[in-house]
Amino acid sequence: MTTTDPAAAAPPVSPEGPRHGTGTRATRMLGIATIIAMGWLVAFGLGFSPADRDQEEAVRILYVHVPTIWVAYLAFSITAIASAVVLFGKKKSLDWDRLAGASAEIGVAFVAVTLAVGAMWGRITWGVFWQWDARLTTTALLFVTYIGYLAVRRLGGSHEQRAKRSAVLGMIAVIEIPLVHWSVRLWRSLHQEATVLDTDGDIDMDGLMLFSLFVGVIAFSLLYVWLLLHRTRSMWMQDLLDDRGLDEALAARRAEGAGLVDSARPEPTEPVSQPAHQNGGGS
Amino acid sequence: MIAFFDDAGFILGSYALTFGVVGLLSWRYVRRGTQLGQRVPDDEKPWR
Amino acid sequence: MSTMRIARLVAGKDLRIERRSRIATNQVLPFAAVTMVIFAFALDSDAVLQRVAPGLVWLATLFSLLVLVQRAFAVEAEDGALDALRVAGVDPRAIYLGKAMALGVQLIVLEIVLVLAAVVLYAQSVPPEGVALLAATLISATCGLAAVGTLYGGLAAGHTGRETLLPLLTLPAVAPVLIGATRAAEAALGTAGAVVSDGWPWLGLLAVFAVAFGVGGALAFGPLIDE
Repeated sequence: MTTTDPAAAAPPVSPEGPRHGTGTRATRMLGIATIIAMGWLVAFGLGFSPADRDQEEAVRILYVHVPTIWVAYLAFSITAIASAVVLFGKKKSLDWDRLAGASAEIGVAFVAVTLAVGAMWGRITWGVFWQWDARLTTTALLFVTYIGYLAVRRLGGSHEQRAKRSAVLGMIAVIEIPLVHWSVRLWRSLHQEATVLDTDGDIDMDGLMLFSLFVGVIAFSLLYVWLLLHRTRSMWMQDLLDDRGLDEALAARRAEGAGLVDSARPEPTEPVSQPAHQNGGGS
Repeated sequence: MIAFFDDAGFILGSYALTFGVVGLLSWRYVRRGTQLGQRVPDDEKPWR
Repeated sequence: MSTMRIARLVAGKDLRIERRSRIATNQVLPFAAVTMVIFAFALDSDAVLQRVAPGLVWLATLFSLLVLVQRAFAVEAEDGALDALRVAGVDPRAIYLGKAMALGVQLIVLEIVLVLAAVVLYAQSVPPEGVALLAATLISATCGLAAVGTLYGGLAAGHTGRETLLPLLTLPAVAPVLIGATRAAEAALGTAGAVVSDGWPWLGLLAVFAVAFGVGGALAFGPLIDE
């Protein structure tokens, strides 16, 4: 995105000390919980859980594969719901639009991971990276559809235009995805499936395996919420800064630079006053 | 034996890929939040 | 004026522009024809070509659809005609239906030419019992393609990067049409031993698609082009 922005590269100093980013106490707690859950996932997924009877060790991939696609579906559902609120809600709020956009972005990243990891699982289980079955094909088209959605969000215009346009597109995706899935299923039902090992990923799980999967779903759901909080907040700031315009932002930064020079001398901040004190004591 | 190592590569690779992408995304989001955060006063941020 | 009457006026205007400029006949049609020729270069074998001919007809149609949609909205954007219509208070649903109708007429002509090209180049034949199925397939698939193309064309029109955005949005959305229309056309032409009765269920898919995107597009077009 706009990482080339000169203001973004400015040193992180302002008159009242470094400003806060998108993190809060709550997100930090959530982040720690996510990391712990991910640690559990690795421990159970790769360590404690047993190998499957049919899939053997490949079943371990499912402990990350299933949670990532679950998060992707969750993310796109949130996008659809938020889009509906933008279009039909009584209170037109850009918050819902940003929620939809952030959720779609996270969803796209997770679908990408799901497809890549799924290909690895398929290579072991089916002997091929890709199979033209309905679920895979629909997921691939879902991926491209939401990449298009994100592209439309970047078309430009006012935030209200972006909100309306992308909300409409979010709703169209709700019509489109079932049609795509239906057509692909009809298409594939005519063909014989070529599998090395006849399994579609639905296996009877019990005990530790089910628990490992459960840990994975919890871990990635926590991660989704954490990502969503950070992303909606930075989108909020981006929109705010866009609204204020480039000129005003430049003026503010000039004032900020001047303020920095002024405030450094008469009222030194904590770390600066510390050595001054010691000097006074020594003389 | 060779099949086992093949499988292990894909299994560990799938975990590495997942956590790699997820970690990169998280890092980017936090960094972007920090950068944008410098340009917006704290008392304007609704979450503070 | 009723919505349908305005839609017919818009469609008539678009078709008149196309007839005068001759872009559709002088550029898009040759483009579609050359696509059919280069498919033969890529696939080489006569037997393969004969087997996949219906799919190639629809692929060439999809590519031409993208070109035609760009064209249909470039005409509007050049002189701000779309904005003028909106400012004049014309119902966006009527504009949508009109533009989709004009696009549909051009697509139908194009598809007939492409089917003829497949008969000539790929050794296809149209059995008498398949004519009705083929006609129904052409019409229903065209309705779906025109509905999607007009919707996303209007969305991308007037923005930088529209040339690349349009295929990105359109191709995944029309995947069901490609699947349904190809299978139905295979049945109509008797490709690889398919029989005509195999084709009719696919028409259901095409019809549902056309209705869903026709209604959805008419409702969505207003908010999308509203600037």
